[in-house]
Amino acid sequence: MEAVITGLGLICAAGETVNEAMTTLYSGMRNPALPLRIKTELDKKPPVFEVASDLDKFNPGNDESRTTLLLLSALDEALAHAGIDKDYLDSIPVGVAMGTTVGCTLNRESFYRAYRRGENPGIEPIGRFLRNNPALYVARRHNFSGPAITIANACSSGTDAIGMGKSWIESGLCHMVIAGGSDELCRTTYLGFNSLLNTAPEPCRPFDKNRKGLNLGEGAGVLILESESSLKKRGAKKLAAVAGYATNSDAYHPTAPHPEGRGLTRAMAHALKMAETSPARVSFINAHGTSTTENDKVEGKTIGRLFPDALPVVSTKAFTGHTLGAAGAVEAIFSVMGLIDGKIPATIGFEAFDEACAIEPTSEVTPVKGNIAVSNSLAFGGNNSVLVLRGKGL
Amino acid sequence: MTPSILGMGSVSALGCGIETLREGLIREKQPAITKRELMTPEGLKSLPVYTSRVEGLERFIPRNKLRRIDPFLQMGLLSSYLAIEDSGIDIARMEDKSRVGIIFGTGYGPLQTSFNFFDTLIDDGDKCASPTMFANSVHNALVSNVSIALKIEGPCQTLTCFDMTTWAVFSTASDWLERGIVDYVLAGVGDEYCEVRGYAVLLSTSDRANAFSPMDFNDCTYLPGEGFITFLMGKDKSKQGYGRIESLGSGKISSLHTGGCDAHFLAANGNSETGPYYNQLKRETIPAFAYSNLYGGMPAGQGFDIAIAALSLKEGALFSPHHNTGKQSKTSLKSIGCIQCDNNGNGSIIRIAS
Repeated sequence: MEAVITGLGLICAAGETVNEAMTTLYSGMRNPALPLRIKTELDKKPPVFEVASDLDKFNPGNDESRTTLLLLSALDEALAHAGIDKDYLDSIPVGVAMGTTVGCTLNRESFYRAYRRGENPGIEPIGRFLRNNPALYVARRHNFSGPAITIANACSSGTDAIGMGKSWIESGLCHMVIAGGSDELCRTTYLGFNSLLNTAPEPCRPFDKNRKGLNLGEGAGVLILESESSLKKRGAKKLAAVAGYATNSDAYHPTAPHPEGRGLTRAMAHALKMAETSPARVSFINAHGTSTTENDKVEGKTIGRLFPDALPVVSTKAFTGHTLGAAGAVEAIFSVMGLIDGKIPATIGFEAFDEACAIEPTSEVTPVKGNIAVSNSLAFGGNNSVLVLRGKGL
Repeated sequence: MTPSILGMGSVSALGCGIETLREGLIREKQPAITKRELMTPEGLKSLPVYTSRVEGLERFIPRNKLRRIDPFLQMGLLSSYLAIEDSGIDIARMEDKSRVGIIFGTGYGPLQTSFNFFDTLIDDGDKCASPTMFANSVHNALVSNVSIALKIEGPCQTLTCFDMTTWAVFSTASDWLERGIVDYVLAGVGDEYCEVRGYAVLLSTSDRANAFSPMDFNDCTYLPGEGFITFLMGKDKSKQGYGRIESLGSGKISSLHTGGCDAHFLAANGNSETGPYYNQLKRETIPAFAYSNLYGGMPAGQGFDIAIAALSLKEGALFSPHHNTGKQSKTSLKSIGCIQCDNNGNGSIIRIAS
């Protein structure tokens, strides 16, 4: 039983719907800027990719975190895109697999500052944290009876959530899974990545020789995964299929990838094997491409080695920033859209080839042939997670 | 063949090692409960806390490196080493370490480290944010550290869904083993205590009863606990383990199938928000027990119940948590269902069979 994709929903700095974001990506426009919602004492503030909307329409009870609001925006779009009505959702066990980093952390800084000052603050922020676990929130809101799991694998969380949804469908645990990821920008990650010297003082430049680091972003991506039987029952349209997924660990360093891409090599090979395909049949790769020195070097070299016949490689983080727990889902959606549209965007910001990276990403909107896309996610802790998506012709 | 529990490592208020859990069950050992004084809007209050003490990690990790590892990571690392040691399986000498995976679950993650990171901002300003504390404050820092320490190169996941966390971990571990993705999985769950958690407990349970009484589903008697329990799971027929994962189930309490067991171990912990749901379980006439008076209240409690179920099955006896007798024999003990409810009417059952 294969996991097919029947709906997509997305919100990020590039756009607040899938179509808006794709229009931005193909236009080559981007607008990273100083953060508006984060105040810091830093002298030099790294730019970020912030979602413009306050998302008030999703916040009737004023109880939702921004991570939840981003997720609700993407979820509503994905359910509408898939054409699923409430009666159908109520009639089957629906699973929820959701990735996040910020959304599962009790990082209520203002509460903690008040606590430290001995002001005996009320604990409502803690209750709010408990009610906003992304997967549990979605399951509760829609009264879903299937499994609900939040995955906290840092930057590969969104990819791993899709992989988990795939396995639930294939094992028959449920016939529909809401899979994806969501993360808001916040002071903790902004100052944390800054302290790691990973952020760029300028718009990011994935795989470029003169890249200076990543830009953080925020967003959410949701994919509706269904079994073939659910698809037939609903008479729904198949957009793509999650043909392969693999994940493993470098077992090397808490914050740096293995220099030879040991884990990534295995993850890509396993995911392709699961999809019963080969490197030669891959149409394009949506790279993790954070624009950090080490990630791009290791990922580029690994891609160059595994795919000796050059193929189009794009890093869409150039348009969205690094959305952490949402990144894998956001980029899987861009990959599906690349297969549907038959083209992928330019890796905006890339200008100078870096021998250390060994690959030259797209520098303009590039037509793609075939029906196989690969989406990579590398994470803090040495996680390497890879999706193989199959489109046209399926 | 369903996955088996090949080894267990426990770090709890009872001490370190699975034997300490057994000693607690037969009343040879009492959990370490320390009183914490915390300022609340109503003045200074005292809160008893089930407190873990990590002992023996220097057998596995050089002492000079331990200083840089926070308490949450220490609990998880030690329980992992102990589970492997208990299994007798030499993971370190395995040729292909990509055939071993790790899945850890936690309700709150490394709470104290998250607050320590804030301390660096508050005390020294935004420019002095600690990169080490930031890196260790993410939920998957523990999985990362264990995979590096043990050179485990298989799939690694961190799952977090409060009271459903243990089910999530065991469900995923079983899936990996049954689909042949790995040969072994280190599956662990745990949570740590910190002052802010204690403060939240005191403010949310102002009308709490005095005695910790997990099987009293109506009153709030919750006491926070901390600890980490890790299982080495596999499908290795040649190894004498503790039992196997017979089946897993989850869903609405009203439709959760709980039959087919000789006993139910409820992860009830005196929390008045989840307590009523244990009352709603359709448990027929199956005897029920709760053991959180040994390890304290935490989202990962069901993990400790699974370990107690595995010990019970191995010894063919149920340990009574309610009397000082310590042990009650039952010869026909074949399957125990470990059940945890959340505060939204959902529940999970993990059946352990001999």
